[in-house]
Amino acid sequence: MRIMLVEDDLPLAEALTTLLVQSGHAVDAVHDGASAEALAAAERFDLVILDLNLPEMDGLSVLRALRARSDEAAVMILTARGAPEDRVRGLNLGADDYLTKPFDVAEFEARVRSLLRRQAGLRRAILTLGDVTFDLTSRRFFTPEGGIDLPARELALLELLFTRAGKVVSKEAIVQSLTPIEGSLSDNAIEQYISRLRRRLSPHGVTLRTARGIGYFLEKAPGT
Amino acid sequence: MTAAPAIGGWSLRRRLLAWLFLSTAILGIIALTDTWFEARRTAQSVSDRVLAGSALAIAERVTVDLSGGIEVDIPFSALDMLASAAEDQVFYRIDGPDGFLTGYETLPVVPKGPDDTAFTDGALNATRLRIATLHGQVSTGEGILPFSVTVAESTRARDQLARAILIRSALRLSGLALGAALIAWITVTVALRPLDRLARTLQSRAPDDLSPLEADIPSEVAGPIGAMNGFMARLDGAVAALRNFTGNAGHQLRTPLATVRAQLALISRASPPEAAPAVAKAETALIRAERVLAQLLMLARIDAAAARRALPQTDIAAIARATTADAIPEATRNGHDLGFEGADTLTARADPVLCAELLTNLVDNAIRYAGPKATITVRALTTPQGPALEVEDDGPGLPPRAIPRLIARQDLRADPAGTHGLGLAVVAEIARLFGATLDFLPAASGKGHVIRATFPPED
Repeated sequence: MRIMLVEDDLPLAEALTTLLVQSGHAVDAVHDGASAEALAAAERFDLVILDLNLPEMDGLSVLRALRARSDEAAVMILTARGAPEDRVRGLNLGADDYLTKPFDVAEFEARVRSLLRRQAGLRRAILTLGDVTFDLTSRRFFTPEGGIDLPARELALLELLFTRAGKVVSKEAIVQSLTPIEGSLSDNAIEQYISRLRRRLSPHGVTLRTARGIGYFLEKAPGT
Repeated sequence: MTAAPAIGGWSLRRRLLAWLFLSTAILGIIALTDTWFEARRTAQSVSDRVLAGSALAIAERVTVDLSGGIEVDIPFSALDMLASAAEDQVFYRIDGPDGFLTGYETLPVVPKGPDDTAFTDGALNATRLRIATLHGQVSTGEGILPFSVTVAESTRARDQLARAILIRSALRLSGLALGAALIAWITVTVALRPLDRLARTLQSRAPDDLSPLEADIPSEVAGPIGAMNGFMARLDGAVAALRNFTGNAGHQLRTPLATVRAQLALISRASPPEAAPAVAKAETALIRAERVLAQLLMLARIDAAAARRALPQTDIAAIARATTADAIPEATRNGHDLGFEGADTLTARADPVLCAELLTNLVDNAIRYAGPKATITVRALTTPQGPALEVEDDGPGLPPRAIPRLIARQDLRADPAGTHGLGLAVVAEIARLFGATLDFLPAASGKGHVIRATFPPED
């Protein structure tokens, strides 16, 4: 996969480039915002690893320009600015992940892998968790045994949880997302959908967990 | 000028009153001196008129006897008018052309002046006298006989009158001075009230509040206050620069640390297995350095938030839900049951980022100390003391004696890399900033314990 690394600190850029190349990626490293913007406009990348404090043009501007061109490259922000509001700003501008320096190299590599996998899925419009895949174009879920047929509200609920897999989705968000279909939705009704989905998913390496008092989240079942 | 330093320390009120008293005293002395002379003049002129009248009354009774000599029949009424209430002594003598005729021979005669009656101050047997001599003449038909009538009176009554006038004046002046002092005292108090208010405003300020003073102050002190505000603005800038330094330096350190991490990873992959322990040691040291750095940055953030004037109204229940939601997937993977209970919304004055940091630390702390497969619950609740956030776990709980040490601020500053109870020190620091109280309570279920941060009630 093709990665653009935008980092003005040369020793760090060098070390990360080596790490990524060793993992088998093609890496273009640039050291200022203007070069990053120029290169991103000319070439197509799967992943952009972006520092925020850059000479010429700061990282958030590069990100904004990238998204303004509807460039669908995954963007991982890599920055020394660790404040949560910076993180929120970065994610609001369309970054896919945010890693604060200094970071654990193994975690960095894991996140790069996850972003690239997701990117590959999105390219093919397919998301995968455990043995379950979700086709974004047809809005259908598949297991190795074939497609899963779901009633509309369960499909909408699973789609919501699946696209945010690993992150807690609040009941509020679920209600907001499902109300256009249902009109109104009681906690009991949500719990019924959840328990039905749970039964359907558990044989396929996907666990639907309860975040007590908040909502639900999907994760890959341990050992799969 | 040895008195100068003492006066330098005087209050404005004392200074103003001292000046007022000094000037009133000088003016009073001048006025009283003038009054004294005026009183004496008045008393003397009264006394002189009576003496002249008395002398005239006697002179009218001077006649020429058959032998052509001078004869006088002294009317007692003439001396009566002199015998005043002050028991003054009265003297007289009559002189004819040939000298002394009758009366006190030792009484001095006042030589003739421009007027018929001449006056002088004199003495007789150590008694101070006012003496009047009337120089007259009587006709005998053949010629004219000159004579003089001298009347004297001791000055006791005159002095008493002058003294009475002086005392009355002095009393009036003192009353006036006291009244002026009272008015000055009130005026000064009223005039200084804005300064008193200013002083109270300054006293009630937090030591690190360097915002400009905006008291309602008289125009006379606007200059010094302006200068003081300017000074405080410069000081504030200097303090902010110092504060930002920690943050900036911390951020600057992050990139090199990340570089070292990445290089270490490359080394460990490229080098023979014998090098592995050395790389592991280097990584441990690095993790320690990173933790110190994270701590410093958090403290810098707390200091920066403390420098802000007011904390915003924040939905702390929403923050608690979001923080818990972030921590749940990881906690679940590690076998814990982490959950949230309580209000949908709950407002308190808090910095949202630091509030999240406080909760994250409490949750981390609970996960660390509660043991495996713990049930940990984050709550947002309203207590009689105010809105509160708490984290309950069913673990063994902290030993109560360890708590004060764990939350001590100096622990945090002195040993930011310390592993034990570090999270609680951050929690205590943030709670202090919010004005929140931290309580360590036994869990309602009887197993485990609760750490609760109670925010000040909304006013």
